[in-house]
Amino acid sequence: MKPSLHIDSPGVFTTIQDLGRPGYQHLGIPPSGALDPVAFLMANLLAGNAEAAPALEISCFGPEISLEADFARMGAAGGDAIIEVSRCASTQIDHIPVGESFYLRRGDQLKIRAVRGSAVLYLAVCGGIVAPPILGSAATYCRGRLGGHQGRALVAGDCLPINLHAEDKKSGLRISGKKLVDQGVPIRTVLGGQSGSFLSSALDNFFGQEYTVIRNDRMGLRLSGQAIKHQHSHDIISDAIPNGSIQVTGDGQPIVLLADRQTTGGYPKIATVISADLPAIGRLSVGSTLSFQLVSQKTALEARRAHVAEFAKLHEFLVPLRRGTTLNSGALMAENLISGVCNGQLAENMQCAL
Amino acid sequence: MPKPRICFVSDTSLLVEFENLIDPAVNEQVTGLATAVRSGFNIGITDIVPTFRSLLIEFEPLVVDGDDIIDFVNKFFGAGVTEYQTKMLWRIPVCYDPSVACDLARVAHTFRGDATTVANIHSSIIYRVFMLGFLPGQPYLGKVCPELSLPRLASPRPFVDAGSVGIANGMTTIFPVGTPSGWHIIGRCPSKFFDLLSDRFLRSGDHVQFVPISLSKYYASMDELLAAPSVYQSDIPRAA
Repeated sequence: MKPSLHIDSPGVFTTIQDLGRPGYQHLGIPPSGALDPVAFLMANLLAGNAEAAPALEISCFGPEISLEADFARMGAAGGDAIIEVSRCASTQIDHIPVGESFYLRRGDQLKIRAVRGSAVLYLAVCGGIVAPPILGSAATYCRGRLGGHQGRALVAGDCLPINLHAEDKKSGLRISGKKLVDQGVPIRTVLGGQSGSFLSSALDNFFGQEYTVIRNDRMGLRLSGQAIKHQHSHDIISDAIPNGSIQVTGDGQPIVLLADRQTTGGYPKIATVISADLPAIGRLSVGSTLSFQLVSQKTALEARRAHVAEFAKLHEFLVPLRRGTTLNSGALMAENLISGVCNGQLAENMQCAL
Repeated sequence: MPKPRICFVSDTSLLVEFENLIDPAVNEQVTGLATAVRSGFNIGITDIVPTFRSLLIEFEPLVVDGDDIIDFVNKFFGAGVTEYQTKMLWRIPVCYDPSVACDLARVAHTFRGDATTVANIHSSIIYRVFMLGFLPGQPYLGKVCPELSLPRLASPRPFVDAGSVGIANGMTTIFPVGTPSGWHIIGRCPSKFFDLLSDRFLRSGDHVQFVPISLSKYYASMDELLAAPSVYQSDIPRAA
């Protein structure tokens, strides 16, 4: 039997994601990919992957998964959850916090229950999940039935092939000094394509209030707050929707559009979340509150520069699992655990996905 | 043509807006600019999304300066547009039979016609692909004859089948996959018209002619790949 992860129970909504497939929006295909690319990459680093290999994006309530392989090094990062691992060889049950690497052996079963603090939690396996790339990416886009496992969210009984890797003797890792949950800070934006469709009082209202997320999925976040008035009609001739675009529907409520958004739409767009804050907005789920801050294009660019630089050095937030010892990034590099992260080609791929 | 409006809409995207009209000549400017940007930059451009009257250019600001893209767009219009993309004409078979088109009878009734009248009117025009959007490979085709210009359904249907041909708001479309939809469904195309593997799909600026087929032909040609398109001779005068 091929080495694989067997899905005993899929959880609420679990899909295979990677850093997405930018470059095809002119065909109506959104980029998809991880809603929180930072947590996604962290999960991969914990699992010992040098590359951003296809991993599971878990929302809300997690899956139950059995290992059908001799051995697998795993990593989970993102929302808070306890990973319960029932060991096949004993009656032992281990409780592993998110943000640490761990090991599974044949027949071990992991269970993830409620995911808190973020809309998404990533579960990566060393070597990555094997999914045929569609337009260069394994990301699942459910609405278009593309990518991932048969173009859909996982269901019980699915068997996801994984790349075989030898049992390694490398030390486990944990995340230190990097929070991957909703921080409650204002989301930074620049003005959108139709910000002129709103009176300045409406813009003041938009930037001055606190919103609550009332629905979230991979397409976007539906927000609720005091209604924003359009100056004229709330219908425009449909145009393209950039990632993080905030459109205001007929009832005056905003929708923030995310990775699986429709590529075109006919509501005026008041603002766009700056690229550096896309991971933060991807973490918000029903009940989260947020406010928007208007920043200059210059600030948005500086934030991107800092964000891309940090993304290339996420391994610096990893420390050995054993407490009390420290390991700097140089030592990690020497151990050749995550060396590929600094590979230029990969860094370029990552930039596209951010 | 008035000068387009160009503005940044995020740190990684730039919007170029033309006249606020759904019009082939305006749309031609959009697809022309899209082609030029695609060939004008080797690196740094992530996505180029042409729509009815605007072009969204997504780019990596750490690789290409957004102001350089603005300069490129301005020069493109300063120079006058001379070369557009090659446009293709697609002939797409459609079965106009009530058994595969749930709104056909009702739409025919709105102007006291029958299924054949709807088929004749709908297939009498060569449509322009104004944009692709909503779903992968879904074309917005226009404009339809006034008789077939109906508003969207008041509440969308939970599901229409792949291949369904719909009309709404002066446009017509074909759905590449099954989906919820507020369009009036008047026909069904048996062929696969969005196939990434064969690299065969419509592009913005292409043209489409619907070819009515019988119900038996519909069932006989299910899931066949759409016939290759021919080159379309544009009827839009080229700018000097």
